[in-house]
Amino acid sequence: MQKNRLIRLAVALVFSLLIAGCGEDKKELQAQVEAQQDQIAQLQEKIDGLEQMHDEANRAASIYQGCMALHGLLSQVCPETAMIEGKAAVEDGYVGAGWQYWTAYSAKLFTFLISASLGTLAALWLWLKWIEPSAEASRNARQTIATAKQQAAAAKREEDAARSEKWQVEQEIAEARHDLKQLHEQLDELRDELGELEREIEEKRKDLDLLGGFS
Amino acid sequence: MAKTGTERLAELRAELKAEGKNTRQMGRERIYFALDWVYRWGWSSPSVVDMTTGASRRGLCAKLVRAGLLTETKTAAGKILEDLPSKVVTLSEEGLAYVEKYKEDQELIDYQLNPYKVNQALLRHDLLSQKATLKNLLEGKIQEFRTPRELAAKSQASVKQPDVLWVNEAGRRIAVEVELSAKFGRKLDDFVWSIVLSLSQAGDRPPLFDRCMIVTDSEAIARRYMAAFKPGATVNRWIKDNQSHFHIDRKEEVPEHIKGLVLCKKID
Repeated sequence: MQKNRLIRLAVALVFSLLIAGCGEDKKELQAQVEAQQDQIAQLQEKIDGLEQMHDEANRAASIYQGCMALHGLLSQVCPETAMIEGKAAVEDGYVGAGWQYWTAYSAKLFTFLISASLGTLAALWLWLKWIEPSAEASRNARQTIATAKQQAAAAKREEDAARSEKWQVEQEIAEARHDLKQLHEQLDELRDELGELEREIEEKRKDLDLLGGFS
Repeated sequence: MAKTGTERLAELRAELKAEGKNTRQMGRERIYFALDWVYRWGWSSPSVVDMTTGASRRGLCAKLVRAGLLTETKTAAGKILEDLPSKVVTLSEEGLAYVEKYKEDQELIDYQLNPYKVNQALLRHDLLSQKATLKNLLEGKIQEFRTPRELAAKSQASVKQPDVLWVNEAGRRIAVEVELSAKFGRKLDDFVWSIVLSLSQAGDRPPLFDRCMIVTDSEAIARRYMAAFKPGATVNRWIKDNQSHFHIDRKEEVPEHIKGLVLCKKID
């Protein structure tokens, strides 16, 4: 704004010289011009100094904002003087949105993301580590159950086979008993027949003995 | 070691004492047994009568002849053939009266006193029967017997009348046939079938005999009879026509149950 005002003063000076007829007063005017150019140069220096101060204040505010964005994480890294200057700049109305702030903020965000990712990974790793024994135990349990089921099925089959064999053996025993009973009956019949035959033989022998009377 | 006469006499006295009999009673029983023997058979030989005492001592027959209870008669072929007796004895009237005095009515038979009515052709045949019967009786192998004369009174048509019927100690009735001459054709068939009928049950009638034993002195007769009595063997049944000629009426088979009931023995 000051620069624009200085430009407008120089233009007004040129016009006034033109209008006044610029012959005789040329020297005076040149002296004035030079004075004004000096004034302009001084003002320019002043403007440069002010711009430099503005930039420095803006930088200090960005640094401060960046440090604040770090939430004290890296507060030791930030110089105390910079923090004071930055805070004063912010209080003076500087936003502090320079590259320092964005760099710090990005670093913080990056750090947070990295931390969160690492945390997530660590948690996932821990969860996996936690569930792995359970899964193995479950697998082992399932395997044990399957083995037990197989053993139970095998035992059931063996039991069925044993029961079938027992039934068969009982049947065989029953048949054997039946056969034995029949054999006993046959034996009794044969004994009776034998007794009858022996009786007949004895009778025959005695009857034949009677024929000895003819000798 | 043979016993002496004194020892044997002592034994007999002990036996009689045990039975409650004296010597006189025993003598009467022996006489009656000898006379009854002649009565039941119709005749006998002196040796058989002597054997009825059961002792080796002879003389009972001569004693009975002298007493007039027996009549002694010479046989036609006496002493010519070895197996034939030279004499036969029959009951005299006194002897017959003595025997019949102790007989029940059903035991009486029509006794032929005439000794010449004795069939001389059957002397050897009948004597064999008498000797075997007496031997078995004295040895206790048979309890009683029936002679052909006793059986004739009760015989039925088509039923064999044996030469002697023995009843052994078990009560079994054994018919004995003495076959010294061969039978052929119709006579053999009738002989076989009549024995089959006698050994078979007929309706309510039980078998008349429990066994039949055929005695012969011929090997050929023995073989022929055994073949004839084999179960399944054919037996012709004969019938007489109006001209008194016999013809085969039908054929029968020896039944299975006859197996073992007919025994045949060859004697020397």
